Amino acid sequence: MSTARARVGAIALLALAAGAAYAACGGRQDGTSGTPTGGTSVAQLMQERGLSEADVQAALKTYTPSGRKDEYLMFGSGGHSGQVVVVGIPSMRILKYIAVFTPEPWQGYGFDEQTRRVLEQGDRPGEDIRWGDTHHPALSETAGDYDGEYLFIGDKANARLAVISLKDFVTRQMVAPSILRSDHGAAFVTPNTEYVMETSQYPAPIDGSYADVTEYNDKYRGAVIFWKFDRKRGLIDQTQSFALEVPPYMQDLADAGKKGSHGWAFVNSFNTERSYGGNMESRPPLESGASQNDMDYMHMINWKRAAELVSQGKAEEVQGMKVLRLPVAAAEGVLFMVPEPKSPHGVDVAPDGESIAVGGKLDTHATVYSFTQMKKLIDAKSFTGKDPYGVPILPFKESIRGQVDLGLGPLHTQFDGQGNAYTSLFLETKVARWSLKDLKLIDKVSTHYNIGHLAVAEGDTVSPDGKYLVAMNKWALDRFAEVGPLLPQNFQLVDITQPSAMSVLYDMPIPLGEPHYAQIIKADKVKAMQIYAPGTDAVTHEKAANVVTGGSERIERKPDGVHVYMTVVRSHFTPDTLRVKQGETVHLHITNVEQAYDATHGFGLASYNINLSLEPGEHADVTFVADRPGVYPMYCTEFCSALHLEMAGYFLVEPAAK
Amino acid sequence: MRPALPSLALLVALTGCARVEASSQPLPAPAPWRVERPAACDSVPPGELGEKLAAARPGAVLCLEPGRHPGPVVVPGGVTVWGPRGATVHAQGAGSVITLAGAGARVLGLGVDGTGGRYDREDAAIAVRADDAVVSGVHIQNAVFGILVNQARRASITDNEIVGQRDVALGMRGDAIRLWETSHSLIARNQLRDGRDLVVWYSPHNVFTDNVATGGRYGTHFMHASDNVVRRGRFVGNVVGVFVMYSHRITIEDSTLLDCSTAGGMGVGVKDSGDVVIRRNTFVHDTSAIYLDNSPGQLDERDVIEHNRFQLNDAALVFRGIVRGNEVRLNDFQSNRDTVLVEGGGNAREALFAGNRFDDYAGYDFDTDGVGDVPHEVRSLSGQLASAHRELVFFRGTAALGVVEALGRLVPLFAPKTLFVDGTPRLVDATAGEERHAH
Repeated sequence: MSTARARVGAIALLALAAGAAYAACGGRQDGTSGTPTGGTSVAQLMQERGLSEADVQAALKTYTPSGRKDEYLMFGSGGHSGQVVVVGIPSMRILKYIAVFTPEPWQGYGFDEQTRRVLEQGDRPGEDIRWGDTHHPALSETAGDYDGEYLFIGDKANARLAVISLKDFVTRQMVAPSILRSDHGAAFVTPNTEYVMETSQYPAPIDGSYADVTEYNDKYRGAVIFWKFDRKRGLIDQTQSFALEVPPYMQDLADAGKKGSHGWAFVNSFNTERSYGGNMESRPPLESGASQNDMDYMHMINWKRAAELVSQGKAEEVQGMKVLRLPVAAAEGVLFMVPEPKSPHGVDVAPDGESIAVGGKLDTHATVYSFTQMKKLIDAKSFTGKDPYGVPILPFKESIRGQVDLGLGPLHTQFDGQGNAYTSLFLETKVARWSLKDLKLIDKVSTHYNIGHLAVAEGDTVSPDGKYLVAMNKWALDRFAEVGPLLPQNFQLVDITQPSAMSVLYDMPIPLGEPHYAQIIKADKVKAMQIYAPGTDAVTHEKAANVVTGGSERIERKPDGVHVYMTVVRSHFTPDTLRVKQGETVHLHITNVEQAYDATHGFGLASYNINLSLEPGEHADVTFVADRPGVYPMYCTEFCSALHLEMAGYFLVEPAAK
Repeated sequence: MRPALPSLALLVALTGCARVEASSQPLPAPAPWRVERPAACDSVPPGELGEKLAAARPGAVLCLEPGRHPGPVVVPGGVTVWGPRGATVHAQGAGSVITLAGAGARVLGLGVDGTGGRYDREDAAIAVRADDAVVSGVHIQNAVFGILVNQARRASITDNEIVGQRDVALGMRGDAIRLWETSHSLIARNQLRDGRDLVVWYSPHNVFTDNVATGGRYGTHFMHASDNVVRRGRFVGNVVGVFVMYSHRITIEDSTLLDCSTAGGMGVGVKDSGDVVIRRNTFVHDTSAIYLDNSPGQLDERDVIEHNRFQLNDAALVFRGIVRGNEVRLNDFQSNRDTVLVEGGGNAREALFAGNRFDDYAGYDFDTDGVGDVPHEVRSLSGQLASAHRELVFFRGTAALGVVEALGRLVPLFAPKTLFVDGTPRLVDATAGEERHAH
């Protein structure tokens, strides 16, 4: 406190000094930032822009001079954009949007054959799905720490999971399990990324059949999928993956146990009432029916045991997925229910693996469970009963370490390296810091507005860094200039280094989709490549089959169409004139033969819906039918050089003979 | 987090403020839960209640003899069960103790001791599942949940005493009373001690009057529950006195909201709601007396805060997000640390302030009309700094922050911003003369 008091004293002295010099000036009253009018001293700039000393401190903590790199990288879900946003911390500069579930022309994602095939992995029968609702990114871990190699992200809307390589920040795989219709608890990884968890949200018949919603209790089910990750290949191995059938509650977020709780997973749920709506059919609306019970159930899953049972052949094949059925899971000690405050969201395992924090959005407490206590109850078969599906229920009071009174609407918790936990309070729109050891509230900081998740630097690993926290707020309301009724979201950077109090450092609008969750990794853990080896397929990272080298450019007519083997280099395409006949199928095979760091080229073909991004060394293929005669310019869509405008050519489609 | 306040008694002594007298009065006597024995009834000795109820027809009246009557029991429609003070229905370790299953079922006067222990199944002392039910004069103790009213109309829940478990952590208790999809009901003169919440969800058109809730979490919690009235309530030592979420046309009047002083403490909290009227209430020693979060949410709505007394609160009015549409009239603000705070900076100038009395008003009233001669404009540097940097709350009242405040008024570097303006501040108690109906 003496430091803080000294700080206020400094404020007073600074004010006194500045006051002597600028007593005649007036302060800003309109809430906008002023435009400097030429002042050079800090005090004058502060006065002109209406900044307080605290504002300047915040600026000093975040300002990152040109050329200096950020200490941390944050991977945030991009919500409806179907993408992942990469942000530098503390500067809060957006570094990249990674295309995942949605075509993205700048990266050529979904336009070339390589990335189009990834998107197609996520299609459903009869439907090309070209959007996603990305929710929860998960960095790959080794021994419970981020290792900086891969990122996984779930698509709630279409129950899909994607794998992104952090060598080049490119999506390389998508899986679309047929047994799920939606997910939410995706993605969460086990401590060595043995498995990536994907948890259903809205139950449905997992065999894909039709059943009226009135058959909800009997025929609808949820599932928790454990996707086996083959780190060597950097791909999910679907043949080694399995799912656990769970009751038709609405499963929510998840987390994997660590250290002492390694081998277990925890999944929240709501709607243990099994409400399914029907507000025009004489039933309560789903919202009301699903929030009636005072408690819902945290699912406690022994995934190691589940994997053993699957290997013993106790799983059934359902729509291509090995599924450990609910009766087996209940009887074989795989699945347990633990009461939790209703309508929870985060279930967050502390760095020690022992404490598990759950916040009920309508509660005022965070409830802290003890893994040791729960395990003892399981070992002693000390249950209060079974749920309607025969799953044992642990007694609530005996399962918890205690509760900490934080305020209204606790939602999601992460941790620092000093034994503190940080919980977002949705109803209060605050972040609460509390002692994990003592279960005591330490302080709170206001956020704006309606905070959802939060992220602390490496805050869900076994060794959190702390330092920075990012509050992910919904609907920024009055924080930014008006841009119409659809408001940007607001990421707020919070300084958590001061033991006396947290403070907001920076507001960052997120204007493309609603972000849900983020993870913050030390930047130097990510070893991204600068260029591809010549002729690389950016999805597989292997040499492309149709690689083109300098001097081997050519146009070949084959039974399946016209094959163009093209190279790009500053500042020309070779060949730069393409002649085809109307109706011919065209196969473009294009290699960027440059190996310079900054030599990315684009390939845009007017009116044929084609734009490729060709990073140095990258090879891409694209196939289309030249069905419209005419003259179509093609040009480089990246400003690649002084002669960028000259990097163009013509695609000529000769009309078919009548 | 923030320095502990001196005890309320000490503050009262130091300030000598007469206004606190209302809140320092002893709590009202326990609810008059004795209900006269019906003139004609069928006497039920211990052990026969279940059997008698199974045979009862509409219109039957059962009078329990003193003693322990084992539950659980189900009261059919049109049947009345009465008990004297010494008759209690006891839980047997599982489920709800008394269920009112048919229309017009009544439970009067008796005691209920305990429930099952399942939080996930809402083991209640009394579960009401039918229209026109009456629960009156009942004493409930050792229950996980008290009285749960589910999908009912015209319930009458009056004069009951529900005692929670003080030694059990707040989050481990169940609701004292819960209304769920219930309407047109009367909840009156109930005493709720050391329970958790009085929950009103999806339940419109109810009246809550003369209830006392102490030592709980939410004195009353409205969620998607419009057109409700809270009248003459007494909410003491709860985390939140009354919380209004996603609801409209709520009136809270003539109530006392005292000592909601935990970290998230609020006398009244209003979130994404509108057309809320808060009048003639007394707010004392709350962390935030009234917290307005994004309310009124709709453009055609307004919130009215009038004739209230605010004393010894950390902050009397806290705005977050929307400010416009709030009318703050004829209130009395005395000895609050902050009269107005705006979370996230900004100001409350879009709210209407009129005719309020402020203890820090520095003007005169030369024409003796009771209204100050100059507007009351609050320009607070420390408030605005503390709003953005909560750690500075610690320094309120200290010389250090006083220097900052003083300098802020003198020099432009830390120019204080106008938080709000009351153009017609009163010098006399703005609530005087207004008929009040508090206890």
